[in-house]
Amino acid sequence: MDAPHLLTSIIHTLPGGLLVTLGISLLSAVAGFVIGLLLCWMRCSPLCAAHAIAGVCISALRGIPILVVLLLLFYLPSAAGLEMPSVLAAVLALALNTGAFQAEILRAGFASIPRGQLEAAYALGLQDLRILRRILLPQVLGLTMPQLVNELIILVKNSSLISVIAVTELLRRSEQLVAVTYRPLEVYTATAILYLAANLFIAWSGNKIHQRLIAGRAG
Amino acid sequence: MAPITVHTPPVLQLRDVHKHFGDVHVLKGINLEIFPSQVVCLIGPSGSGKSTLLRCINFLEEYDCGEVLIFGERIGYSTSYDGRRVPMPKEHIRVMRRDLGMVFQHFNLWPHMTAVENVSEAVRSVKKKNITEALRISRDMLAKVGLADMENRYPAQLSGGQQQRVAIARALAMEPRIMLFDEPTSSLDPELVGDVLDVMQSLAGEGMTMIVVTHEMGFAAGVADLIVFMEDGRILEQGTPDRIFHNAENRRVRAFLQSYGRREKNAGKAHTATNSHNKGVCNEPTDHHSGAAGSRGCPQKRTAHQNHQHARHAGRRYLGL
Repeated sequence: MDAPHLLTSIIHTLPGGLLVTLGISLLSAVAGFVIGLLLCWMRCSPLCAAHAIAGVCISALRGIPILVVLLLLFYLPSAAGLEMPSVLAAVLALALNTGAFQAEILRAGFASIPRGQLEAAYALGLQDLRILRRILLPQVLGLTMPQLVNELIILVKNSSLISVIAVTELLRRSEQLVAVTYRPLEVYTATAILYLAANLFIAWSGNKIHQRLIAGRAG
Repeated sequence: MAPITVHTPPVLQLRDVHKHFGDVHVLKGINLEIFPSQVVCLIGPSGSGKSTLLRCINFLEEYDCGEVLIFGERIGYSTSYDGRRVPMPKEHIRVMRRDLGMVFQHFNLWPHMTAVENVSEAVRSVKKKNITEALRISRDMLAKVGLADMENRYPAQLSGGQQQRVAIARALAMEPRIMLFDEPTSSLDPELVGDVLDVMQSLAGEGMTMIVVTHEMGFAAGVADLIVFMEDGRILEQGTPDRIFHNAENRRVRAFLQSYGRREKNAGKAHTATNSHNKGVCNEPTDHHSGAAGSRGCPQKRTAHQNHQHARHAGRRYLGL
């Protein structure tokens, strides 16, 4: 295959894969945030049981490789006679993994909010969910944005693992293209550039959002 | 003219309140009654349990035994059918706290919100006002504490005194019936203390029931109706400013007040002026409210304003200011 043809097929194949990668990463990141928030809340709970369960979950999810979790999630339900859509297994595996890491990031964020701010909210009679939404989360997000963005970048890279269960994201498409063109060097270079571009964009926009979140507070 | 005695029920009653932090017994049986429109100053050395007592009143701190009654209703615990003490549902505590405004030593403003957002947050979410109404109330409150032109500043862009006044506005916007102040001026530059005390004085003048933990003896002497001296988890003595500052029975109380400097000496000459405005002590509710029309719902009706004016001036003179 000559160079112009190769370029055309790369341009036709890979950007679609990148969109799938980003879509699944974003979905997993949001689901992971909810999981992280939940684990963090349990971890900080005065109930011993909740604290312990959250601790075990976080350790397990951080300690087991994503690929193993992914394969378990994909094959276990089918052993029980249920069909597991590969996209769902992919999102779940990534969300559980990033959720465990996000839980620890958020815990540090919540811990750094002075207790007095909460007392003021309690004294005024604010409801717990309102306190979380209006008082805590805006500040915690501002404080932990750099780490959360870091986590999102790691997640985007980890999402290449889901190609093994036949989700046609960026890496999977590259492999398919290589199988057709026999030009691994060019195709994988293009793949690397796309991953890098996506992550640079995430870092850049994360930085912008962070600046907006902390605007005004410095005085 | 014979004094008219009106029996007004206390707005706040503490009965034999005990509190431990681990092995440390911080409150050792506190009994106190506070009546409508009364300004009560809790004074005493650091670590004597003043702040803890204040925090037990709005149940930011749980108490171990005894009871805290707000308008006759016990906060934090209810009694089960077999007489055991059971924790009150969180929701119920939340409702009871609406009658109590609190101002903290470290302001505790929310740094990511502007002044007006800080004030309007609870007006919107707890009082369920719509945003226009909430902003109107909040701007009124900021104007009341002298910060009308600062509404869009973030806490970090305000001085300590301004931040504390925003915190007072935030509490007042909820229309509490009792205000609790926990060392409101202790973390302020001396220069900025006056602004905050002025706001508190005018609040007292309007007839707000106030409980103030303070080291500002001038404020206590000038504005308070009742001084409560605490040490080591106990109330050592309570009475009018006049009595506590000049005729304290307890030696420890006298020694503590003397340590507040030589300015005390000038006070002896000035204090006679306040005698005619002696407003009674807390243990005698009938005497205390002679002439006070302040019923539960409308403390403003009480004609305490002149009393406060007099007391304030007396207080200034008392400290040779």
